[in-house]
Amino acid sequence: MGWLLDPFASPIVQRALAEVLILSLACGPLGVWVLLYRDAYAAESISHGMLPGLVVAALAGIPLLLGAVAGVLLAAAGVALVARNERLSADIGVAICVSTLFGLGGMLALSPASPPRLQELLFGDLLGVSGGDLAVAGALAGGVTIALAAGHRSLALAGFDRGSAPSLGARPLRWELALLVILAVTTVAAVQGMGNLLLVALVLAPAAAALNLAGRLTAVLVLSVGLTALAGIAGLLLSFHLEIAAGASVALCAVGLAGLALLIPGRAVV
Amino acid sequence: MNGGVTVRGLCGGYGTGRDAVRDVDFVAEPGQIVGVLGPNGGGKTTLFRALLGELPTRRGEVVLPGPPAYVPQTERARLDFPVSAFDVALMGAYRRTPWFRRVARRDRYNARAALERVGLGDRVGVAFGALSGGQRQRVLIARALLQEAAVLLLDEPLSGVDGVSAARIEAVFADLRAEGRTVLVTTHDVRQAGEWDRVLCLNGRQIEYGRPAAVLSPETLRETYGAELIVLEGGSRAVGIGHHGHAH
Repeated sequence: MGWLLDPFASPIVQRALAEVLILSLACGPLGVWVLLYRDAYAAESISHGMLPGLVVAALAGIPLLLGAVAGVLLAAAGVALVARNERLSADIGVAICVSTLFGLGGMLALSPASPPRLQELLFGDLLGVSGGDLAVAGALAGGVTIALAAGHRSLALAGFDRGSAPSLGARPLRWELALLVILAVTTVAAVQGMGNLLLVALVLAPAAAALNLAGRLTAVLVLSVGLTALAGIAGLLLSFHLEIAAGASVALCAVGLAGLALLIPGRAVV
Repeated sequence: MNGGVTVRGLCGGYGTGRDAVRDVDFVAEPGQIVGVLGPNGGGKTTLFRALLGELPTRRGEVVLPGPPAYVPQTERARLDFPVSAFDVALMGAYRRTPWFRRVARRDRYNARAALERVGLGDRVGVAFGALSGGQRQRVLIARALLQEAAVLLLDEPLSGVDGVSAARIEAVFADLRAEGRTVLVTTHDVRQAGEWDRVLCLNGRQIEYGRPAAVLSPETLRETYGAELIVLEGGSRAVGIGHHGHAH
């Protein structure tokens, strides 16, 4: 049992554990909704497109959330601008703008002149999270969890049958947009620990596994939280014993769990 | 159940200047089943959207006793969504349930009862996507029943369903009529519409409305369906060729 418990004797790993458990509460259910709404590409695009906004916000010392919103708006404006060209589709707009913005963000974050912690926006630093980082992640993840709980029925109505959702009391467009906002907030909550690049794995992979293993929505959501937490714990253990980067280990474990789950015959993956 | 549906001079569509339906004017009393006939693009779904308050542009008057329940065509629902027949039926109670409350025990009981009423009492826990087309249609009707609405709008509920499902759905219609609810049903089956209380013929505008015996004349049907083929069997029965390309 020593190999299982010893790593968590250290306060650094304890804080990292608290971070992944907090994130699992937000990322677990969010990933399920993102997959059910077929927004996986949007999730990755939003996450990557907001990188320059996050970097500039960190450099300027303003809240990351404001930078994230600015980054998303910039990406949306760029996509709309490209899509105005009749010979190009919106997909091409997303590809061009998100790649450009991500490159710009990476260039800023990895510049020798940038403060060292900016690199964490890309790959995160789970073992470097402070008490303050935990408090911010906790507040944002708490907000995300409450928002998803409040919107649970509307999200289910609109996701199951968009056409008849209004007659049952839901406003599909409102919740489709809300889901993207929640995704942006989750990215901000998780960026310090997991980084902009690796976060997507933690959001999508356990959710894909849960959707394959469970058949009822509530069970899928609960299982997704559990699998995200499991990936976090397994990733920290792997990181400790193999002496590899914690964020990357967690992402690897999340994808590994999804791979294993997809080997089990279950319901069709969305 | 009180109320019914009153529509006066309804015109509307999906943008200004182009009405998808116009001059619709009818009254459906409580306890009446109204068959809504018309070709594809004739305004049947547009009329339903107007009654649901979802049409972007609308003129004229619509009077309803409350929000209607709507049953869409079954193929619009996601088959890969992780919900059971019971979960879908229970969605009918969502509008009246605050987000922070569990759906009331009474509604959970009624969801089961609604599924039994449509003949799916033994399929409560089955995934929606694993049901047959006719069974899925009946689940959506159970969801509408749980809404406890005085007016129900059903979009081609009998299109392509198996015989057992069709019989169950027809039985539910009879119950709803007895309960004093108003039911509007779009259909391409002219013979079936002839068995209901009123028929509304649409083709971009209202062609005719009234009792089936008065409305379902060859002339009205020709005007309603326009270029779409109408086969008259010995002059006593009209068969519309629907959008799926087969005769009903």
